[in-house]
Amino acid sequence: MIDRNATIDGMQVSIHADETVLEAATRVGVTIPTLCKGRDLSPEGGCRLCLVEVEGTSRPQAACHTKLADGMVIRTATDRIESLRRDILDLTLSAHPDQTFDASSPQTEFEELLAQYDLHRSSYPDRAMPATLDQTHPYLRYDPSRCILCRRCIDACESIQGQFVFSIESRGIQSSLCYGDDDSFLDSGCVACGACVDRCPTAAITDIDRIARVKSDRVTRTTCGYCGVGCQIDVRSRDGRITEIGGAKDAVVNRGHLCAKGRYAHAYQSADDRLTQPLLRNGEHLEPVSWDEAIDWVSTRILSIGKRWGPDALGVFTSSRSTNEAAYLLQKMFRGIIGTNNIDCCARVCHSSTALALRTVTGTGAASASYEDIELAKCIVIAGANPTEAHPVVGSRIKQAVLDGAKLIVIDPRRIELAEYATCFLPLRPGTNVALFNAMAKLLIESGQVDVRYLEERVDGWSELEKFVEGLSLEQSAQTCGVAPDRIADAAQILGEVGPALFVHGLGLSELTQGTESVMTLCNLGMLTGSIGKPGAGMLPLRGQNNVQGNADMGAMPNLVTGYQSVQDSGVRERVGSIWNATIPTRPGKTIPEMIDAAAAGEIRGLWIQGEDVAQSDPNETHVRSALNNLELLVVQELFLSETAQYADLVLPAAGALEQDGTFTNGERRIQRVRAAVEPPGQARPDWEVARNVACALGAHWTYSCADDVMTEIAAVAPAIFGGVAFDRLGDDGLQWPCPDRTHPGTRRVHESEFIRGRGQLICVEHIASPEHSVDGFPYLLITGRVLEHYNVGTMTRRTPNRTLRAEDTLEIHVRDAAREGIVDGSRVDIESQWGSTNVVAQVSQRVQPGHVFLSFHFPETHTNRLTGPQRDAKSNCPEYKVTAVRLRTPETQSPPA
Amino acid sequence: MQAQTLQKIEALFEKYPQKRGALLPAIYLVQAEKGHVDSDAARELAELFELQPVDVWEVLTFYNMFYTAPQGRHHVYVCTNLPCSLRGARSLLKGIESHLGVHCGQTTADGRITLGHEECLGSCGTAPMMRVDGEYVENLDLVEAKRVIDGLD
Ligand code: SF4
Ligand code: SF4
Ligand code: FES
Ligand code: FES
Repeated sequence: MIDRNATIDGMQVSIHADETVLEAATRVGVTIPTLCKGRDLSPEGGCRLCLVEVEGTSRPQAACHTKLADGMVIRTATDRIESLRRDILDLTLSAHPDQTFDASSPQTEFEELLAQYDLHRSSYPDRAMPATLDQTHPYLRYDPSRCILCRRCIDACESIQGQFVFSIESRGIQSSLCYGDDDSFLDSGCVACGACVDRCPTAAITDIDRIARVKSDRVTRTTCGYCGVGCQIDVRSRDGRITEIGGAKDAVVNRGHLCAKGRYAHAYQSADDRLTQPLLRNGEHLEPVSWDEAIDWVSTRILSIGKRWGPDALGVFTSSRSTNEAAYLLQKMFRGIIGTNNIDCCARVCHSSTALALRTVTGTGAASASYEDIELAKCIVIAGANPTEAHPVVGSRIKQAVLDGAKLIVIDPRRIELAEYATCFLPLRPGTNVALFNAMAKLLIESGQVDVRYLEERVDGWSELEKFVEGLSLEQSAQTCGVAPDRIADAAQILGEVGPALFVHGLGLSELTQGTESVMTLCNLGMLTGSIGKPGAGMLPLRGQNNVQGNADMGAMPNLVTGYQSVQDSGVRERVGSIWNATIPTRPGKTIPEMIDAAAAGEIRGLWIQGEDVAQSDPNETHVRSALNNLELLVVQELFLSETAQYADLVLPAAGALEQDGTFTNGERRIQRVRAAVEPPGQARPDWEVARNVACALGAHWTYSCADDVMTEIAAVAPAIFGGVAFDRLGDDGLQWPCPDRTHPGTRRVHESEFIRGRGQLICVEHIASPEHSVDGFPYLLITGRVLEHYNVGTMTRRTPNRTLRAEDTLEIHVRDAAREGIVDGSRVDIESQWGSTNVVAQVSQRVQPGHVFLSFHFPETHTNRLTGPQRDAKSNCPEYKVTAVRLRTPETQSPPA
Repeated sequence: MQAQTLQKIEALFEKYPQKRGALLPAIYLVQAEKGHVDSDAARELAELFELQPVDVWEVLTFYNMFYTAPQGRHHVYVCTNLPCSLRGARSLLKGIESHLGVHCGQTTADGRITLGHEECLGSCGTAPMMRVDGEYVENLDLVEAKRVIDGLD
């Protein structure tokens, strides 16, 4: 066998396929300086700083561009090379005004190089070009006088974020970085992900946190508290204040990447109006009390309501933003001590239909796939999700996968950003997914483009489905969903030819009267194409909030105790009851919408709401507010005096995601550590601690001294999926459940060899229109949703400079409709449904289809949810946020409804 | 952009294997219509070509015969590349600057002339030279240059 070796600086180096000299040198610990090649970026080859001597060639070669080959003898730091490098740096320096860079106290990569080569002033004539600092953006700064035109930012923006913001304008000595077409940074297409900031070697592009950077005294690795992607972050702090957040470079979830929320929107943490002490109602006012008083008061109230009206007069909403440990303890307290199953979390109002559908047809309600399947996928179907805004880091991974050649089918009423990248875009009428997916199933089956072997070996209901789709008319389905039959056929063909596919889906499927059916019929497509359980394929619902998956996992559901174990099952009640030393009630509990109805009807007397702003986020706002008003006892655990907290009798100040220990579980079932980076302000307390203290006041003997103790119990209560989960095993990247024992590595893909329920189930179900689809006098369909800059009800992001990026919710309306209604961009419009009305600013756009309007719900003054009504998915109770019949009036026209 | 220009641009598309190949001639057409191509026009082109606006801007600013700001009625561009410079182009340019009262790169207050300099125009044998709109004026001295310039309307 011939030895395949090369030498770098006298060291023997093995040859790896496709490795460059630079990569090989880095691997063996030899540093070669680079300017234009940045971390995770492709070699640009422009700066020539990485030059090395290759024996046998007369000219030096660029290490970043030269592949290491057998027998090569490389020298990385000869006198000639070092003098060339110094000269390159000297020339580069000449293009910048004196004093721009400080080699005596280097702060940036470039300054470190200058220091290393002892270059303080250029020996060449000054050729600096005039430059103006761009400070238009609330987070980002561009200082052209520091830009060395290495182009790292261009590559980072394109190949990591997929945003294409930058280019070089002009040429020669006049070349400069430009963004957009002569825009300011603020007006450019920048989405403030910070990828360029992370890579700029000179801090020409930087951000306000880095400019204000002080030496941090602590770096804490933790999990981002915004969306369900679950990015790993490094939080820098000094003297108990957060100074900067960066993406953890080695994290499997985000590989160092972040979005505008995770990286920059942390000012809420130290906002002036954070709650810092318990507040007890005294008539009209909420007055500060001590924790002892608060706990004493609330435990007495709970006991007396329980005694007088029975335990089912009490209920709890756990918070999808809080930790698994907090959710677990609250449901344990309500089940085990108070004695009710009235426990739910906001998963009810987002993905409850998804979870129910997936559980019914596959055996588990969570994602079958992992985020890493995005890069492996040949075909991605996005249905009712807008990842680049609501799950930006996953959104950018999808973009990169598509730029690398994956086929993309986008199914959404709105022309979301990813529709621009789509091979096929199906802009359906909101709430007609079942019709569309059935039509696609019909086309797949009738063209024989199904995975016969997979269906025979693993799935039930194939022949029934075959018969069912025979009776469907493609034309009629096409008409129902408002998409041309040809387009549907195109999509089915791509799916049939390129599948298995990865199905990325969101609330656009679940928040419908046919939410559960929408997801089930999407699963039909998943099974027909043999996708579920395969690499680069499967079902990947994008979970909304950071720990909404975890809340469901922990048993914050009326019918299921921790680990999806049914409270109806006496074996479960006995086993869990014996660990808890308590009796678990059999009576089924109520869901959030049911509890709200029951509160309005006076059946529920006391509610504990942990970090959820139902008065803003839940549908039919007027009804919700009157229900809250009707309560005898409302306890709210919050960061701020939210809309809901204003109705409370007792407000408990909570610790935020950056201030407590525990775990969050992301949308790919990954349980990751949350670590306190700073102390909570004032007397704010971690949620799990509050639950423990209240439980003790209610008479329990809970002795947990840290979140770790709670997790140990969770593992014992639900061994089938959490048995092997313990803090000492979670490390940097956590574990994906199911993880049944301590030697189990966690589960990347569920249903790999067989479905959890044994065989997968195909479902035959017809499209049924929502009552909102045709309401006389309300000609438009309102879709509600999210925008990139804000998160949910905005309590956190509205208290950050993200407010400058987006200051209000706007009503997107199609140009044609706007013209007909006499609505101009930026004008105010009255919008009215059968359930309520509000007044908003119009944004004339082509993102929505004619006949549809879109409104987000991030600002309380918008009152989006006055418009949404009482319609729910019958099976899961998930409200219909995505279809509401509305009409519009402008103050000028007051046009009568069509 | 006028419908006529749009039509001409669309007719260009089929001549190129890829749509974006037609970008340079399309920029010429827009410039012929408006005299310059500003950022709004760049955005329109980007939409038409299904490119990012920044990609159009990059091309537009790379070539010095495309203008992003309004120009004078006439272009006077003096070649200042090496052969022309050896034959006095730099002092010629200085002379024209003071004659017109503007710096190189500027337009006279009456909007009559934009003065600029150019790299080699391939007419070194007759250096120094300048380009007046589309025409070459060669074997120049300052007197001749002034005469030509003063003759422009
Ligand atoms: S801004 Fe920074 S990263 Fe971008 S080209 Fe200039 S120096 Fe390089
Ligand atoms: S912050 Fe992100 S989106 Fe904005 S310019 Fe930099 S890389 Fe591009
Ligand atoms: S790093 Fe290799 S040429 Fe710039
Ligand atoms: S140098 Fe002036 S024309 Fe060539």
